[in-house]
Amino acid sequence: MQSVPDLGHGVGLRRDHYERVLTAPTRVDWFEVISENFMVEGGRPLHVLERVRRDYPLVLHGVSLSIGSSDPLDPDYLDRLAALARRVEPAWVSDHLCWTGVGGHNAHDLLPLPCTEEALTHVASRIEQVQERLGRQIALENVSSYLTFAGPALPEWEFLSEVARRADCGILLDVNNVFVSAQNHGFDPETYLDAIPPERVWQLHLAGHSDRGTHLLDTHSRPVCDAVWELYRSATRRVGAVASLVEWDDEIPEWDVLEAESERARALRAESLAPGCGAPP
Amino acid sequence: MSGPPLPTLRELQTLFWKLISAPEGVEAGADELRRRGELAPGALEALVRGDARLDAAGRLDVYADMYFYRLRDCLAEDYPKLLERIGPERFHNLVTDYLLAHPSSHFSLRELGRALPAFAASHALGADFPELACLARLEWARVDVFDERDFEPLDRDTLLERAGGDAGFGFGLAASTRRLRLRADALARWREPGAEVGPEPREVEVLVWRRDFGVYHRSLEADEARCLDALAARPLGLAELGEVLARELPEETAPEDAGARLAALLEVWTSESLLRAG
Repeated sequence: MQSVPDLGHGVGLRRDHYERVLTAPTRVDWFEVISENFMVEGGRPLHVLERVRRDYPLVLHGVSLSIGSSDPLDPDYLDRLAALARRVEPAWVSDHLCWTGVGGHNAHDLLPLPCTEEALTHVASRIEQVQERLGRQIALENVSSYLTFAGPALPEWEFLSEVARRADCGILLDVNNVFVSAQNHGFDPETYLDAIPPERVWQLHLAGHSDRGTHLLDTHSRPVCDAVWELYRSATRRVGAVASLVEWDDEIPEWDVLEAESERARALRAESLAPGCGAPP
Repeated sequence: MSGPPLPTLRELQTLFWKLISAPEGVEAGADELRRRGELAPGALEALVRGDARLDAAGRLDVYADMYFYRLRDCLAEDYPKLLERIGPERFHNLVTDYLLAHPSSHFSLRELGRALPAFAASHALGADFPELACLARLEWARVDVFDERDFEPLDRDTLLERAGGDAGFGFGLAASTRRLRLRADALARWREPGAEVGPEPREVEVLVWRRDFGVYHRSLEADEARCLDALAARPLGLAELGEVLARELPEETAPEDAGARLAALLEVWTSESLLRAG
């Protein structure tokens, strides 16, 4: 298993904050960017990306790899991702354990996979192809889900762990997604965390969600809630010092608000990992 | 693992896609599939677990809503003037029709709206909003040049110096430009969606371009439009460009006036960062 650096505490870089990030120092250690937003020919996005890269470590986080789709992998997409990775030399490349389209159509959404043996074999084989094409291991993130498929299946945490083991890839553990899915499907989020092999966790994600009455929705439009902070504390005790990142994609606040969320993660992680707090050695 | 088997991954994803992209929602989409014999009674409930909070269709509807609203919001971001002109309800319906005809097939949302101008040209809304397609073409051109490939723009002095010292030196129009011919009322409605316009639709030549990180557009005189089209087709030398311009000017134009017009155009184009070498 590849060893990845602890990048510290970062945030997702979004257009609303480009100017702020380029013109003054920040307290964040690193940025994550949505890969597809920078698979373009030129203009401001790439200019900003290269400027930011001069001062900070970057991680490329994709939303369209569609690793679980039954369509073939998109060679054009992989070529562009490989080119972007060569250009910005990210600390790592990640995407989601999901599918985003089928039959040549793209839903631009993170759709749930059945946790079956068929899906497991399919996904693990495709991750291997992607890793070979990119010449590096990738990390995959657990997504929030709003439904469970009927029929025989593994629990999601076993599915994720087994995918990572078979494909020899990293895990981007989204603590908010664990919480949202736990609430939507009625499982204990600690059970999920217990099952994830800590040595495969490269990164933790934090975000806010919305309560829609019948379900929680992963909106990335609000501060991280207390219950998710508590789960984050619990996750850091299990996985140790791995990079953490706050995502905020809708109703994006002023920079200071986002930065304060990242600082809160920094403080909580330090507290969790302090000697005597049950953290791994 | 226990219980009856699921359909294959391919079958499951194909059905899932049909249901979440159904324009009237999952229930109506499932009804339609049942009518066509593509979904057996009870098959939806056998596929997705429902509970007291949300039944199977309700859980799929969460994805159906996310699918539609994400794409609608993306198109609203690319076509803000169109949205303002026709209003949210008509825009919602236009997007519904558009996604049925042109579901996204690209990995990037950036490409989602590419076919909207052509689609708008034949949409029924055009009866009430005849400038609809032209407004869409203008907005898409502005989206399209925003992240076009970068280039080193020619400044006027460099252009004249290189053209003077090298008879083979040519220059062309940068990739981050688009040439359009639009109804004049589309330009007026872009500036002010509620603008009063005359009853006679007049067409105007338009240039859209990016300078640094800003996107701009303006209307063109006919001679300027022809010269820019020639420069977009292939690099031209200064003399060749002069010949293109001469063909557009009145026959009686004095050579010094033609030269002054060419100099004025070059001054404008270089100040707008429109030209590239070779």
